[in-house]
Amino acid sequence: MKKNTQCYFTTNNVKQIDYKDVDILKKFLNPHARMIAGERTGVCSKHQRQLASAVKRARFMGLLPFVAK
Amino acid sequence: MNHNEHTEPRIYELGYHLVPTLAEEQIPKASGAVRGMIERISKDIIAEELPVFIDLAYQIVKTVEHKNKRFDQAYFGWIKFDGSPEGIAELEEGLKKDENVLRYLIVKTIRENTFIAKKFTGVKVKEPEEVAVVAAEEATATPVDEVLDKAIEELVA
Repeated sequence: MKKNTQCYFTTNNVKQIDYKDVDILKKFLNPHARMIAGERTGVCSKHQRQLASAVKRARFMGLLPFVAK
Repeated sequence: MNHNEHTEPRIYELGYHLVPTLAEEQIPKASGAVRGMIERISKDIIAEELPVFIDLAYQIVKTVEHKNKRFDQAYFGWIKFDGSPEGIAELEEGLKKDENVLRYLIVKTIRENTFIAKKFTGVKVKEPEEVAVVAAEEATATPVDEVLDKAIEELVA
């Protein structure tokens, strides 16, 4: 798998990652609904931390699964 | 320097699920109750999306009168508002007592729109989709050639 070199959120000028943006969050999950490492997706540390919170919030609200399959 | 003074605005967002047992007509009343709680503690409601019917990613259990009720679907809505920490505590108490609220989440956020995607995309329509059919018919009714010709003419001009 080719590694992305640029952070998706930085290039799109995202100030805060929203937990309701389920379609965006899903891009950073694997088929088991686990988070993919920032190293692999190219997300910078600042946004990876935000992303982690957003995914966890979305899980709590039942918008994303805790586990899939 | 006064440490108790806060210059930064405190913007919060409340996301909530209403129980799916409510009928579509009862939703405005139930979401109005939630909005009423916020209006009591907040000066300014910044943005809002009314509850929409969605499939939940997993079963959510709510205990009602010592009985566990399981829900696979819910009405999900959110409100962004300006508030104070004391108000939030009050709001939480109100939400816990509200039987129509299946689950809620209050987060600190920013005033600007945080959506990248334009709208909440998990929306599911409770009734059969009539709108989609109409849209499809319209699409087939307009001949593609005509549109293409117009586009070409515009380009040439």
